[in-house]
Amino acid sequence: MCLAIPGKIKEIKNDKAIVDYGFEKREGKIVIGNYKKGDFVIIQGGLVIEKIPDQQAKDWLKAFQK
Amino acid sequence: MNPEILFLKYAFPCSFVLQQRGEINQDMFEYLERAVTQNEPVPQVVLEKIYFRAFSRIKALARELGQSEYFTEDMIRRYFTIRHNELLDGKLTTNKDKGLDIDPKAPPVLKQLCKVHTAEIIEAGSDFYVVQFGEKKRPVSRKLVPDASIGDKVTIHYGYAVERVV
Repeated sequence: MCLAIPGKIKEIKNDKAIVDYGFEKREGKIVIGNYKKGDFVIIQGGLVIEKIPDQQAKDWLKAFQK
Repeated sequence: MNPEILFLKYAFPCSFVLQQRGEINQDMFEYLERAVTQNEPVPQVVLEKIYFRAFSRIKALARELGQSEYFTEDMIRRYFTIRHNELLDGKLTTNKDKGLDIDPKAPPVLKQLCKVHTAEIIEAGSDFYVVQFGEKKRPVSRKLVPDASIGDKVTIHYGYAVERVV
């Protein structure tokens, strides 16, 4: 199953979030929802679509890097 | 709709992940994106190679239903809208008869995103819709379904509206 990798919001400018994946940065538009710097999120199709709770994101990233 | 086009609409949102995981390169990603937005069929052999996980499960589903043809509109929809969700919910044991396994360590939030839902469009922007299913609202790209309006129902997968539900 194609489960996505979360990135961390580095910066928010107006409605754009700059998200860091470690190996690259991507920009996503915030359409609905409350997001802040440091949140783990999923971006798709240029949109920030979901926040991933910190611990879940960290565990997943760790499992993924192995 | 031909099966190549329908399949890619449902599977395309996974391409972001495949690219992140290094399973496909940027050129292939862009080719798939162009094909899916312009409704151009990608050869089945290419799709089977890239989305081998989904195909293993579609084939398993067809076998189970006693169907010799697995690459049909009906089987693709059955897989993505029903079987795929059941597997994510852990309702079915994933053994080799059901196709490839799902990572049990995956965060619940990601499993939810990965599921295909039917949702209602409650807001429309130039390049997105906001959709609602149950209590949940999510923004999705309108790239694959450019001509829907508020009140329409669409299936969604990750950050994309996939097809209109009549």
